[in-house]
Amino acid sequence: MTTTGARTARLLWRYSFVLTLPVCIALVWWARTTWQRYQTFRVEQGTLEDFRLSRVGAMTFGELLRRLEVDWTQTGSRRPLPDMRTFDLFVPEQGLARLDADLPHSGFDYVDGVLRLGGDDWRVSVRYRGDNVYHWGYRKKSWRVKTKKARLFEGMRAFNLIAPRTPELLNNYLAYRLANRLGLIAPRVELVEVRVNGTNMGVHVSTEQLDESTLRAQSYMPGDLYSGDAVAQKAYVGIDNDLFRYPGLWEKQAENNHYPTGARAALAALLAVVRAPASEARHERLRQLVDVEAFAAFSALEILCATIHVDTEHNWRLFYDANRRRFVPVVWDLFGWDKGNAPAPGSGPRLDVLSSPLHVVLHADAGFLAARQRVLARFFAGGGDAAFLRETDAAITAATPAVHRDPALTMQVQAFRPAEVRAAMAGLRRDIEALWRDVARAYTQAERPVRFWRQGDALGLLVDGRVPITRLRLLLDGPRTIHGAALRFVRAGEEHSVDVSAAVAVRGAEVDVDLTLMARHVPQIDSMRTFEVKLNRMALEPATYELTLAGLETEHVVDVRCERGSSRLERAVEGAPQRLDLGPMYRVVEPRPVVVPTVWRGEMAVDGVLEVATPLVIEPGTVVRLAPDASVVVRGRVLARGTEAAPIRFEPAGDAPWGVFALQGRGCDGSQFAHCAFREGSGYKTDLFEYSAMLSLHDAQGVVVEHCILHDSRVVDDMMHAVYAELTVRDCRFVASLEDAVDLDISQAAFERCAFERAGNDGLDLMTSRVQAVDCVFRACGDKGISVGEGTELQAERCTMQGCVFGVQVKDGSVASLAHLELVDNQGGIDAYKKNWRYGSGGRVFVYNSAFRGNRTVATADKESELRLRDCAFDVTPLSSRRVLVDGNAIAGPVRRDPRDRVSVQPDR
Amino acid sequence: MQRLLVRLANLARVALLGGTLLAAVTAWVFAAHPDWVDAFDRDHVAAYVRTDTEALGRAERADAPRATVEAELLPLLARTADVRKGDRLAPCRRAAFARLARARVADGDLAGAASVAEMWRAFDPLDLDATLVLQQVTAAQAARAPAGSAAAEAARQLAAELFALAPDRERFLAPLLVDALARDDHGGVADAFFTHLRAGGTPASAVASSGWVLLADGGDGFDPVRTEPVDVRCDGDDLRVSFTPVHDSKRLRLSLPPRVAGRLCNARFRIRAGDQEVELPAHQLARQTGAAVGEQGCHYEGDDLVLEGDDAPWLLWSLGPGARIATTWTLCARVETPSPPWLGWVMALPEVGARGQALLAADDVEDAGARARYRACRRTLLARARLSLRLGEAEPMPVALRESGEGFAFAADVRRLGATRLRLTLPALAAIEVVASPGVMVTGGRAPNAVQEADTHRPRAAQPTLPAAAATEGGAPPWPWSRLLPSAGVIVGGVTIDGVGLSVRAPSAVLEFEFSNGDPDEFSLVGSVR
Repeated sequence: MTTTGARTARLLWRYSFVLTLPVCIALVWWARTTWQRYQTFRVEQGTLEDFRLSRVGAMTFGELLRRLEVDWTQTGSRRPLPDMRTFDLFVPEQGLARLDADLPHSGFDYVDGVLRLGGDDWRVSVRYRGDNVYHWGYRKKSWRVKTKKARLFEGMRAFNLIAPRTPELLNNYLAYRLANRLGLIAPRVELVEVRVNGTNMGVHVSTEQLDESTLRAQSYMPGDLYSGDAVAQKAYVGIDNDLFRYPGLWEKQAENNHYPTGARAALAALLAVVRAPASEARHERLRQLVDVEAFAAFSALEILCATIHVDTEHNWRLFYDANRRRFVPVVWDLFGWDKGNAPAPGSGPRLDVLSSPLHVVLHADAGFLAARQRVLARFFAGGGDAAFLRETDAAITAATPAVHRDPALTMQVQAFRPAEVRAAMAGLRRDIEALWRDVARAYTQAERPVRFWRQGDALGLLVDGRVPITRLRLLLDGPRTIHGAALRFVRAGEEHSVDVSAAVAVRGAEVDVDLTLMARHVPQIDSMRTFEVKLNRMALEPATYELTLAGLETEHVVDVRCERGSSRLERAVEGAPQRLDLGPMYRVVEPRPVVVPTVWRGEMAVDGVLEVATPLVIEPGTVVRLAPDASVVVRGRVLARGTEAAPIRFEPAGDAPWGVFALQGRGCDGSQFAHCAFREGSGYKTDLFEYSAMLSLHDAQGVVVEHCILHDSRVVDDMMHAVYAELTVRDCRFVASLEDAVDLDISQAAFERCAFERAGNDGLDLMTSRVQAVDCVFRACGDKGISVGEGTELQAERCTMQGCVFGVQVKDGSVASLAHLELVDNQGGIDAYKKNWRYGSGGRVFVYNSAFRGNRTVATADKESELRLRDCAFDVTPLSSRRVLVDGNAIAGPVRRDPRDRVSVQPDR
Repeated sequence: MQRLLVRLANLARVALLGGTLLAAVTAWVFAAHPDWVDAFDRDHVAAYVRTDTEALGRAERADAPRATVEAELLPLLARTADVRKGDRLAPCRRAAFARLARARVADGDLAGAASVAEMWRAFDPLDLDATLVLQQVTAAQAARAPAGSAAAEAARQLAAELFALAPDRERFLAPLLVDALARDDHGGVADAFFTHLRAGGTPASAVASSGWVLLADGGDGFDPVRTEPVDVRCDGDDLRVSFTPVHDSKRLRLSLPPRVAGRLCNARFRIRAGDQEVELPAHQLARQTGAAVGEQGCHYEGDDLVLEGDDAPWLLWSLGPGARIATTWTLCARVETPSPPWLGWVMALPEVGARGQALLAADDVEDAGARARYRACRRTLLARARLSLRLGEAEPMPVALRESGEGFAFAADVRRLGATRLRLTLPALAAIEVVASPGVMVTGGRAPNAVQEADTHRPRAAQPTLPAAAATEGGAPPWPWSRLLPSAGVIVGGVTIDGVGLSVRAPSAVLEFEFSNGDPDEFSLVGSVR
């Protein structure tokens, strides 16, 4: 026995290294890794996360086990995932060493690398990104990838591969996806798997880096995109890093190149409004500066995401759209459904987010609150919640296999197991569903009925809760005539009365009143400091309104119904009179007087800048004489319909040019100009906006311009300019413009039978527009007859380009379909090329059945472009090549177009 | 050989076994006693910063001479050369820069202080305190150099940008203003300044900003009072903060705007209960409420409440029964925020002074706001101006300025001089006209000779003597400045005499009188500043 025991002991001793050697190797690796991390992120730096030695040790041990598990059990980890793309980054080892040399400081200098996806390679520069340790403190890093200008990655110059910071993984991904559903500007986002030099680094969120391309891709004109982040390395020392006190704390991620670099007048104006004492005037100015609907959608998004991550110090992205003259919020890093900032248990969901001074100012505006309620009601009523939860399920399904083989599930100084991450994702989905049930109940289901009472000539109404009255219906004892309506309410101890006559519609014995009436909302602000803003909330109390209908005694009102958040009319309950103050709410009810159009006739003199807020009727024969630099900006519909015998004329009052006649905003929809003559106008520019043509159409739809002539523009680039517009132009002439005759940006237009003559630059200059030109003539243009640029689609038929530098030039992702054109005596007939690196390609042109005569060059294209000429007639047939393809029945020799049938092209006989 | 290999193998096995045991012990400690690990962690982190914090502590002593400061901090800066913003030692490095720069400024070594400030700013370009020190030093150096003569428009734009910035933030651009001042000889900066005043600049907006929150404790701890928010109104410099306590509050805490330094002058509470209203100085509230008070980040100086720029300042009252029925409390005060660094330089411009006087003299309604703001700027500066008399080598005696009509008055009455030299240090304001009429009274003695010196760094001018006619005997009429100081041409460094008026434009202008023919019995100086 002793001998056997001794032999066993010897055997165990001899082979003990089988156990002890791996344990010792693991111990050395663990000790080294733990100490390095502890020393770097706890001792040398005081990071946001808890890198105490005990936690770092436990985390490193968990990571070790996870790596062993992944390495030994998952042999097929290079198989493509079914619903997720894998981004392969290749970075030279010395590049990685440089990034890791002295974290975090060393990680922010770019090193060269290659991105491989689907067998395609991009030369890129990469670096780590992010302000906080969870981006670069773990094995899984967040990366910034920047491509070369010559070859973008799916239209992006730069994007981020962001390491999730919580085991739920999907917080930011889902928040951005929800932003898209609410129609907000948000970066493109995708769940991807990342491999670095062939080593799987697990699930990341690919997030577009916001810049000018983001705006272009979402059909916004390039402009000032402000970024407000004054934390971590970007925090100033010595001042309060309050973004809403100091315009200088903001940076720009995109610039409006019509203003000096660094100009920030719009931002300064917005901040001045935010800091101004509360008053009706402040809110009037606020409405002029912000797109209330967009901010309402943004606020709804914050509520739906339960986030307070956009605060006084960081995560703000604001786009100033100079053409709409409004700020629009851009979604960035909402970090939705963060458990760390959830309301206290038992306190219910956070139904208002008041995390910055701008939030507070907006929440004092009843119009904003009403718009937000509409967004939320629409979202739930339209099934947005169910659709989004389905998308969440799909995201979890897609992420699950990637999580299963993710070797770096380390977050919050803790190594997670795949099962824990899957459970966290499922928990996130449950949390979203539960939260939205509460939000839907609060914002769409009225708790108490509306009360009404009769008091003298007024009908009193009491509104309670978050769901406003959106429409009233009064049932009368018989048909009545109503001459007008006014709404009275008490705010801050003062009685106010607003004319709402235009909101009233009478149908027999029914009166509909189209008004939104809110309960009293009072912001209750505990703190504006980061993290503490979660305590801020709105207090809701009942509010009363008194409606007076001229010509109607209240005893004739038999019953009152109201619409609240849905199209169903609910019955109001009659009660005793009350009068309750609305407190510090502004823009409580928008005045809705019966609008009387402004009428111009005869001789009309304009001096200075005239803003017309009403519809404008200009009668035939009117002569509008504008003093030097005088401008007219109209925000209502314009009917300027002259006749051939009595045209309407816009002329300078003296020798110097006048400014602009501009339509601004959707109030101008359906405007019409006929038999109008514009001459010798120029532009109008302030620190906040610019009109770059004497006839400027900004953000107006359904505009018709016919039988008009515009000529001899002065000083500025364009003669007519449309942006965010939809218009039809018929039988017009554009003569002798200083530069471009007509400039269209992000618009849709049809030009029929128009003539563009002697333009100083292009006849028609197009950017990101859809345009049809039929039977038009472009003659003697100083540059192109039609310049088709930056993602434009052009269809041109039966047009003539004569004596221009180029007949048609197509570039930067634009497509032109040209048929039955006549290109005569131009320096270049048709040209296609790539000019702007933000667009992945040059131009694509298809020319059918057109005639080329006397052009110095017929058709040219660069290597990024494609030009196809089919069944065309040439005096000199171009050589067919890979870029310029000539096919079909090309007819050589002198050509002319048949005067009887403009479609066909015949050789000259 | 084989035995040797066996022994080595055994040795390796022993080592591996030891390693395994170590791993087991480590795992046990981490799993069973994380508190031991955390204790080690705390000690280790403390040890990491100890050397530098101790060195800083020694250097921070108020009486530490420059040599000590340099001896402590230069090695610290060398040790922390690799430290960057965000690192644990970054605050030490920052504090070291600040202390070193302060020591050098105090020692008159402006170039040395500038080099420290440059290093400090390179360490953190967003540290505005570094910028502030740098611009102060630059300003001190620039004050010695003659002004340039170009680019007035650029100066105007620069200045306009600076003036438009909110308090605190303007420090960031202040060095640029120094450049602007140096280049501007066409009144561009003055244009920008008055445009700024007319647009409503320099209000006490920081104090009036959000941050006033009332918390009440009914016995369960403090909760924000939600029913009525604190109402803050600021009309020019006049501040009114009204709030309504919850009825059964035992304690009230009023949170003040964070990180705002300033002074609420003559802070008084009006407490209304029903139809009755009581008004009393804020610091006397404790006695009235019948219990203790407390404050953080602010303190009382007489009737003034001084805000220290703390991160979370508050005032606290424990309410006696009498105070609990109060319905509305209103804090009324006049706000004095620290004058921005540029204010002194801009107000010292002759162009600004002249136009400011014209503004004050005009009575048009349109400019009433600008007039009030200009007056507030002067008041702010004068409140901090050093007007003092120095007798011989004795310590300077401060001369108090008190408000008087449109300006300020001062009086210094020295009955027995006992010294032959008297030095008057004037505030650095071009806009001020120091009028000494009835002015300087010299009685009982013989005529003094006046020696003037506008800058302590300049050699003293030749000592002219007064005209014989100026020598008066006991009780003679007062002498205007123009007689005391013999000729305007002699005075350099921004001090000019015009009739009975005396204008000062350079910072720290000093006038020095020397009584060569014996002491006057009595020297009283009465003047007004407009």
